[in-house]
Amino acid sequence: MTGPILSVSDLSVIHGNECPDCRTSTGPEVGTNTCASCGAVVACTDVSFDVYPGQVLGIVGESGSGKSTVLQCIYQDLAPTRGDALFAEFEQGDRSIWQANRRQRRELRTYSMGMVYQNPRQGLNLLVTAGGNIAERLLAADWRRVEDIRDTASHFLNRTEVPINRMDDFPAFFSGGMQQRVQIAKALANNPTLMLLDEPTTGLDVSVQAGVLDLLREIQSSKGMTVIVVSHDLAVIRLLADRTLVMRHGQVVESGLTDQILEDPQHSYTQLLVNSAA
Amino acid sequence: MLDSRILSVQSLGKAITLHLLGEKQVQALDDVTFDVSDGEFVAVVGLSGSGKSSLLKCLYRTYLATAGSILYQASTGQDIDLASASEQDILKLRRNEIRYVPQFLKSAPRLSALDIVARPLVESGYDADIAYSEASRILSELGIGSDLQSSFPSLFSGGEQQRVNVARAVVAPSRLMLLDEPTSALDAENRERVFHQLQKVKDGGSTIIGVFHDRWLLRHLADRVVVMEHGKVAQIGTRDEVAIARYVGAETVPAS
Amino acid sequence: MTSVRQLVQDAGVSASAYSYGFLDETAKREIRRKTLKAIAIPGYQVPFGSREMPVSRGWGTGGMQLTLSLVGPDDVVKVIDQGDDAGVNAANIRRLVERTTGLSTTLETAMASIIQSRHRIPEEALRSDQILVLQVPVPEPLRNVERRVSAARVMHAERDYSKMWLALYEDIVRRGEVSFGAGYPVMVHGRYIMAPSPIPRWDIPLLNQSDALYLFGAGREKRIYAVPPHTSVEPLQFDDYPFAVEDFDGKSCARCGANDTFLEESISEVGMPRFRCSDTAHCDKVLESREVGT
Repeated sequence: MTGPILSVSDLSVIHGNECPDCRTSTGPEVGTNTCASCGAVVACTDVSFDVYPGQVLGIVGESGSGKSTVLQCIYQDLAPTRGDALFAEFEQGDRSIWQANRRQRRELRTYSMGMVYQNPRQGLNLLVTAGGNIAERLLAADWRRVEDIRDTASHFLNRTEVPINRMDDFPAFFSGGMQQRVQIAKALANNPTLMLLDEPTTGLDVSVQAGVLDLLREIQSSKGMTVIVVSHDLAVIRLLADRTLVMRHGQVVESGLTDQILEDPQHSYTQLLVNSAA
Repeated sequence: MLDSRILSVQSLGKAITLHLLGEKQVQALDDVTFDVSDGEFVAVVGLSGSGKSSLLKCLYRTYLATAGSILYQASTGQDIDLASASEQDILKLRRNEIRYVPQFLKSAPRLSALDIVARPLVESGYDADIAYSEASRILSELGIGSDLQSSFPSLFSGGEQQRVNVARAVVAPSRLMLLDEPTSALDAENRERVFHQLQKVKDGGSTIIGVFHDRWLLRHLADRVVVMEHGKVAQIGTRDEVAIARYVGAETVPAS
Repeated sequence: MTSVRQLVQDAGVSASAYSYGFLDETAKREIRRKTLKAIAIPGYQVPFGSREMPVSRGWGTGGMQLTLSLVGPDDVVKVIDQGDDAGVNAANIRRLVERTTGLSTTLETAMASIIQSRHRIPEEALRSDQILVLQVPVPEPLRNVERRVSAARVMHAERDYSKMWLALYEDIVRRGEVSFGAGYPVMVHGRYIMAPSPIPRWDIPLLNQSDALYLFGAGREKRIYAVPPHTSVEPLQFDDYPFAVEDFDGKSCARCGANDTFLEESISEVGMPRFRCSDTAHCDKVLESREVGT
């Protein structure tokens, strides 16, 4: 059996001056992210997990649980306070991606990872065309033929069901759902090994959510793509994730196969979460 | 018999702790022990709440067992304890050899019946043409005509949905099938159509463990019957050895 | 207005009271050091302590500081403004060089050892014993795609030029071509994207693998950079949208008749478009050879 594609161990992100009490004075048992002793905000502590090729890992939790922090660290939008992340495509998984230099980090983002943010404004450059947004990733990967770039951009816009005749329009004037589709097309453009989805449907109307979820699911299964999806919405997790981590106040309270988490939750918080959703 | 054993459930227990209800404990399964031979059709019967579904869910690892073991002999010859195997191993088995068929169709909405049934074939590497013609053939055999095949099952009747569900299960049979009452909403005619499909799966060598309420199906398909009562195995034996009258409906003979 | 000479005379001192080449020795030494660094890292913008010059910043003070820190007793200086030796600015700078160094200047490209220029490279091929100093208004080629100076510096450091390429892509999508006229961005030695100063596209190929040294000085922005001799300078271009120089097909200079030079368009007395060489010294030379020949 092949090993994990990503192996995160003991990830901690602490904003502020850390003190020895930070670990024990925050978390689900204490019910807070703020250390009572030093006032530091503990975004997440000691988060560990593996993701295997072709698998979809879900991270579920309410706001402040630290779930998005984990994703931001993997995409290197945020530097962790501590922890290691071994990624199969970075130095054969011998060294943590958090020790990568800036150029290596940019290479990881350009060639190996794709990110879809909750807010399309974060993932899209609204001052360039929809096609240009996709082109940006291809140009970063040294594509130098306009025709090839436009063919590929059309392919991915088509794949994400964005009308091709909008390719040279500015996404600022698109609907939220279509902006999100452009963002997905952009994230897909370099065929990343690891796709990161941060609340990909949260800002959308319910009817639009369904379409975007179908799309993500379909693309994932047809490409066998490895995905980490973060959501507060159990329906999203149910539909997409093979395995799920449940986070609260910066810590993982439970992890397991998604159907097991949803049907046989062990931790009291997960039971509350599942029963609230039903 | 021992040589061809595919599954060995030993002292399986499942206690559910309800943290939100003052740590209330529910004993769903208690000391459940039985073996299943390769290619056998084992029917699980019992009154509602007796632990039939819990048993199937433990076998599929949707429920985490709290006691005992579930030794499964994988196609590689390796013995794997489904109660304690890693999530990776379970996902791999689910992908390749163990399938759970729920009572009702659970699928992504906005997919046609044909899409749903063809998908397992496409995912296992068949060309879309072959997958779709095979899916269409099986749906037709189950009485879902081509006019219905291209529409959304969410618009179907309960019985039609259940047959789509069965079609998806049997289109690419797996080595071990766990069926959780897939015939509950069927009339006699459709039940017989399902029977023929299950018979074919059985003839193809799959091992089937299924929860059934239907006496006629039991009589014609089951090699052995496990009777559950209050989370325990009350009786186990061939379909002629155990008294099942309490647990299944009256026998209705199909029209033809 | 009071001239420098007037001020000097009023103070009762002679021009020779000024340091040789106007700048004091410390300033010249610093500028030479920064120039050497710029030559060592082709295309990299080296910050320097831009001095106050006797003209406003933005009037060629960067080029002047380079010229005045380089000029020695054996040098011959030529100054041109948009190809024209007679431009007011060119004439003033030439005079400053003469008065503060005592050297003579020239209008002939071939005679000069240092040529300071604004917006043009001479048509005549430069030699290895010549230095071209270009005045630069905006040294940062990424200015239009990244307004934050710190971010632009990081992009240079990491050779992360996808934003620049994206601007070219968007240009092609919207206008069907890359619309940079003057100051077309170039890649120097495969490492740094460089603003070649607002020279026309016509001059861009002259930067590549040249025998001469090119120095760029931005006085207001306090940057020096360089293209050493025999260095690769490539305009940014897509494989299917190649870089092209201005098209003067079928046009020629109304004065000297040349059809292989960069032409400037003007309107004749009778209201017709008329073209003339932008490089006046070259135009004179062609004209002269033609008259000699006939």
